Amino acid sequence: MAHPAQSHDDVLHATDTALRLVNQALGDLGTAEGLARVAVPMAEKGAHGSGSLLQLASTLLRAYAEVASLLDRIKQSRGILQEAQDARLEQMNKKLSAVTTATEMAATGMLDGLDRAIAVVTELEQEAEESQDLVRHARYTALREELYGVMTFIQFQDITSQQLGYAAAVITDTEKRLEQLTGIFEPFAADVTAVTGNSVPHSAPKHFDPNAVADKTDSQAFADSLFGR
Amino acid sequence: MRFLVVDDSATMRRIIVNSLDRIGYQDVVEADDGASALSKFAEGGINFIITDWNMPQMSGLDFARNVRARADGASTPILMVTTRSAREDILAAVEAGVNNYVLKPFTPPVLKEKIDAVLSVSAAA
Repeated sequence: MAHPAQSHDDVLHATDTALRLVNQALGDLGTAEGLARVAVPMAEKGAHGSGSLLQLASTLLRAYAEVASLLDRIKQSRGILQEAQDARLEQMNKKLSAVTTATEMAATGMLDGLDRAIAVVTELEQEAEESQDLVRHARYTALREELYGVMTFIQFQDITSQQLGYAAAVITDTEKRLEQLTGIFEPFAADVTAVTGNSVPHSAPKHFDPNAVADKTDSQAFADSLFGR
Repeated sequence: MRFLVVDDSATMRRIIVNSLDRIGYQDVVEADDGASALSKFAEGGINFIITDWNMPQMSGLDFARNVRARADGASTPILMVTTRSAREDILAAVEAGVNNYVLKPFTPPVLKEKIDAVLSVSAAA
């Protein structure tokens, strides 16, 4: 039962209010005084007393109305969660994927350019060597080494893509958790798996390292100590 | 000496191949995950393996275990080049039979140092 004119916040607020009312009604029934309001007249008038039965029926009808209202709000809340799941998270995943592709293309472009530049510098280096121009030769050698150095920095792309892969896995996991949550909101959903807390997404693919950007100085020293350098 | 370079990132494979070229190794075979690397290794002629850890289909760690399980892979040097820096990961690599471990990002001199270290141990054995 959707109310398109209401904002998401309105619906969530109304759901919260409905839950509070139901909680209050159930709480009233659960207290000694609340129970007495129903049970005492029944005892006074006997098991066949029509007044107490009417009061019980009236209370149950009120409770039913509250529960029906609550279910209505929950259905609307479910719709909001579904919308967030289907649209925003999926869009974010696509954006992360696009960023990864863009960095891969950029890295390939940089490597292509560096390859061409190194080829030219190597040629110039050889010409300088042939003409026995030692100063020029040394400069070209230094330039070639600089270009190789830049090439190694492009490893950032792999490290970045692993981080993006982790972020995408977290989003996918969030989608699944929301799906479970909205399943719980389905009326009569009895066999829904509980949402559990995990620090690492359980649904995440395993071909990325969530700690790819961590400081590795100590770890490399540890590896060196194990492998004997 | 023929190298098998295994990494799902084309960028990383290219950087490793370039680094190998720079330090004097031009004979390189490439694979983008452990499963295809195992097929290429089975074809024969591989003298040295450089592998990443995090890959789809088959991880570098499983690939190393598979190589070690083969009669022709028991003594092939394996160098792991990865971002995985946790101590338990490094220990797992040792247990899988990896001969040395380099954390990304690396430089060609570091790669050369590790390759030389592995080859010297292999030669002594």
